[in-house]
Amino acid sequence: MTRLDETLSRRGLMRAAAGTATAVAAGAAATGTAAAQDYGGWFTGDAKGGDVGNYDGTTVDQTGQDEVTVEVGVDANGGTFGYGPAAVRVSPGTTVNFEWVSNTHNIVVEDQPEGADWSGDEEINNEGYSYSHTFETEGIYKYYCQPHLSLGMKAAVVVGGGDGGGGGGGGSDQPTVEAEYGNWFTADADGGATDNFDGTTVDETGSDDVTVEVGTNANGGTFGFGPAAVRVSPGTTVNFEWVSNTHNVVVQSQPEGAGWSGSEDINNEGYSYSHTFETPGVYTYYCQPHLSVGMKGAIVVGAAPGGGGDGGGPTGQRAVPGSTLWTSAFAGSVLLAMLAPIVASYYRNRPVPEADRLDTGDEQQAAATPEADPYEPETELGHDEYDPVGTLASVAIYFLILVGMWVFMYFVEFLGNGPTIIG
Amino acid sequence: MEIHRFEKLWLVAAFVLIAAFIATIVYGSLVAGVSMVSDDGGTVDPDDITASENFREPGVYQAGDGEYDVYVEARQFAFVPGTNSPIRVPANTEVTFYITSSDVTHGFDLVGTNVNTMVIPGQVAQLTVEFDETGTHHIVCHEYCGAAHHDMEGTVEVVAQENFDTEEVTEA
Repeated sequence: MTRLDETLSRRGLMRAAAGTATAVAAGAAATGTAAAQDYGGWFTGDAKGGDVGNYDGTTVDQTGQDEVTVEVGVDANGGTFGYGPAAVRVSPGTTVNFEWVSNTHNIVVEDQPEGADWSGDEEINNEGYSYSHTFETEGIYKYYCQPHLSLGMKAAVVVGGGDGGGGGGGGSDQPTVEAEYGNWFTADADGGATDNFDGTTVDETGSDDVTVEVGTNANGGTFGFGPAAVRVSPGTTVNFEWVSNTHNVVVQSQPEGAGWSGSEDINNEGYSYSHTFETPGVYTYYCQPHLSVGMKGAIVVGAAPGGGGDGGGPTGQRAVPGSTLWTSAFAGSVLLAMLAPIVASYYRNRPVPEADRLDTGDEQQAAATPEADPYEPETELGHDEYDPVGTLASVAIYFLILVGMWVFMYFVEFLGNGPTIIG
Repeated sequence: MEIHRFEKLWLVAAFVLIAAFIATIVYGSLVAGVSMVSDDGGTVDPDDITASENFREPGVYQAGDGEYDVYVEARQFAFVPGTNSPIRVPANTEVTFYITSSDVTHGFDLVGTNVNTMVIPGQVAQLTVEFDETGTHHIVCHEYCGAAHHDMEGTVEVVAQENFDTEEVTEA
């Protein structure tokens, strides 16, 4: 939870600096920026280029720094095709150092605020190269790497705004926690992918009592936590209510200092269990019997960065709805196709019933298929008289077609297809 | 052995066709001046392509009167130059491409023309082309080279000699 500690300490410093800034002023400051920064779909595959795998819905907050580093070509998007971090927030006047950590990358500016004149660095460079730019104009700067755009090598710099004083939601004293789950909800972590996690974190900050249902319809059965990801304020009691059988709650990870032990006994519908979460941070948990089908959940304790409002926003993880149904339908069809010849051969070779056999007598069968009479040739031709003119004509036609194709291929298609290599 | 006269006829025709095919290749090579990509380019160190004499910093160079050399480096997933900035060459001059790869095997194909070669790491593909007409040719990589292979393309711009900016080239 290094990120959280950083956030806390930075926030602590900022609170000290702000001194007696009132909650009203803080709230007004926070209004300027949305909780989860809105990039207008830039990080999805709907914008130009591919989906950005290393953008998890969070904007790394580096406000207050004079210099910020963005690595170009970090491991992401199926290779060394990412900017690290993909989204970063800086204060106006901050110099951002772009440092190449792998080969063949550049920075092409897609969009920037009016009045800004960032031209990027369109020349393709290799590991070891670096380039810096000082961002003065407030707003969102979107950029990408031209050779790897289609793989999702896209990023953004947000200048200004951010959590400059306001935690929002529950007030300025609340620590902020990013809804960052790593790959917890994907099949890369322990167990299967969590189909009922659609990238959004349900925001329940401010409520004293929050309910999470255990065993909701999800993941191909009654194997889900509902909601899969929820954000609550510190001190909130979360009630886990069993709505189907054979589930438990096992803690996978929790912030340092938190002492949540989950509910490891396997229980049935009607059972409930509650825990009050005090320590801010991200808690992940799962149901042991159904881990492999993706029965996993998370609880975020603390306000969203940059104000209250909604949760972490899309994290780039996508659910695959109905995949089980299609897989079984496909497997069924394949099985049927493979069995078809066996069924057909059995059907053809089945014994003829006695009743049918008696109807066709031996005499009738012989009469139905008479032998053909042997024919004598009417005239016999000698070798010299034999003139297969038809065959000759066929050969001549084939020959002409061949010559025509040859002329077309070489003289029209090849020689006429200039320019040609001449040396 | 007696052979039917029709059979003799189509045997002769078949041999004439084979002779004509061979004559065509000879004609293409000697009269039309078509040649193949050779290994004249030599080899380079793929980790540092400009280390040896065989390859220069990627770019367009003037090699003589009406002769230009273009050094192209292909890498995942770009032609340098070509992708980021078009390769600009004058029309009606002899342009020799020297192409090599610094990572994996690529392809270099001017779409719709006979200018087409494989680009192998460490090996310089050398090919001379004369562009008769001005216009734009598109370069595609036609050897699967990785996840964004489909995105690896570039441009060759053929401009009239009087419009060609000699500032763009380095004197040989």
